[in-house]
Amino acid sequence: MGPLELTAMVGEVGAWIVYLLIGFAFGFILESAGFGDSRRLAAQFYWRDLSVMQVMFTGIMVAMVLIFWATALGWLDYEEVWVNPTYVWPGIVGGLIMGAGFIFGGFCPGTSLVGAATLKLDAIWFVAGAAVGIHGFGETVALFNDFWHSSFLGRLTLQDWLGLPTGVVVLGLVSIGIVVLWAAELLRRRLYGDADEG
Amino acid sequence: MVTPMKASRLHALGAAVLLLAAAALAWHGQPTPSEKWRFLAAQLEPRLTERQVYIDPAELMGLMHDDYVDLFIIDLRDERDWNLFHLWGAERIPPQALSAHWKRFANLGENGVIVFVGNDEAIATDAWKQAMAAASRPNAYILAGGINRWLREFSPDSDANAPPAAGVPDENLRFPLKWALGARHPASLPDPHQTGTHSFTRKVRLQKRVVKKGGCG
Repeated sequence: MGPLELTAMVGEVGAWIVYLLIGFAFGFILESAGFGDSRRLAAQFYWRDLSVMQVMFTGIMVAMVLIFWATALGWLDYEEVWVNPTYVWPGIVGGLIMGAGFIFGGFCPGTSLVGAATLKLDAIWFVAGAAVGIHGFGETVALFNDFWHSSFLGRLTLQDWLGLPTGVVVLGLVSIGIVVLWAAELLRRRLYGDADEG
Repeated sequence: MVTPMKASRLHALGAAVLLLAAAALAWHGQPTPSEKWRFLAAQLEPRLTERQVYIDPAELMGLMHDDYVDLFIIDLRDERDWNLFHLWGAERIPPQALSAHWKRFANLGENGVIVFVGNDEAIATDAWKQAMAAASRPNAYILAGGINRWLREFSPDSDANAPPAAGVPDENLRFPLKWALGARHPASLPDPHQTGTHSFTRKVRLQKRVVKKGGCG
């Protein structure tokens, strides 16, 4: 039953190889989707190109359905899967900062690595900036430690928060996601006509 | 090459498949703790059959006096037996109310230890199985022999050589108690210096939580 204890199964070197392969596949897919290009990423915020939203939402919905089907069939122990603990206000502030950085720089951290791997200068500068930012955070976090650990709600999931069965939440999210993607495409065509994206 | 019309049909097909899978999932539901135990049994059943999680009353007594250990004694017995006698610091949770505590059990600190207690071992064993399935495999154990054995070993009224009362079904309190003393009974928190203990195999291990992290970029 998953999650798999890779190190116990294939040894430490084997586990690193698996991580490498997963990373390779992730980067390959992102580059294939054109997410190594900051113009395409930034276009999401102007509704000119909805690839980011379409790919990410679709990936999230597919992964969600697969995870909970695997749990339902006893292949995966969902309680053992890492879910980022919820810190409400730090999450909101961090999201705002990341959103601003995304639109200013045209990348998020993962896609900047994809772009840097193909030697795009803007991606390389973004990665450098991110490294400086990460270091700066590490050096200053003690000054706002109380805020950083505030409003802690633990491992909080939508089904916990809503008090609904997991399957109902999944169905609801998939339904909403499909409607949102369809409506967004309609809006994009209304704003920019039927021209191809990008 | 995929034409716009074909792409549109593929999108619709994909959406339909995803929606159908989600609807089927909503209908099928997620496994209950009992069903989940069936999935985990192969991996965790040996801990029961080899008695790895059944701890000696003397070991529990030691834990009760260990300030470093964050001990949670979960008493699963009914209110009558609880009022007659229970361990010092124990918390009474009926088996049907355990589900409200899985989150708490799943978030124990590194020095947290849970011990399930019944009059014997049956309901405590069942609670342990459910905890493993529903609470992210907490550091949980079962009091070997339950309260019946505890009282035989530590009660000043006990004749340790006397056999337990015959003809009484499991999970009944077989030890005769004249008054409902709860945690005021002398045996609720025995003094290890005065009681003396037999040798036993220590089974409780404090878990070092490996923090698995993730995130996306």
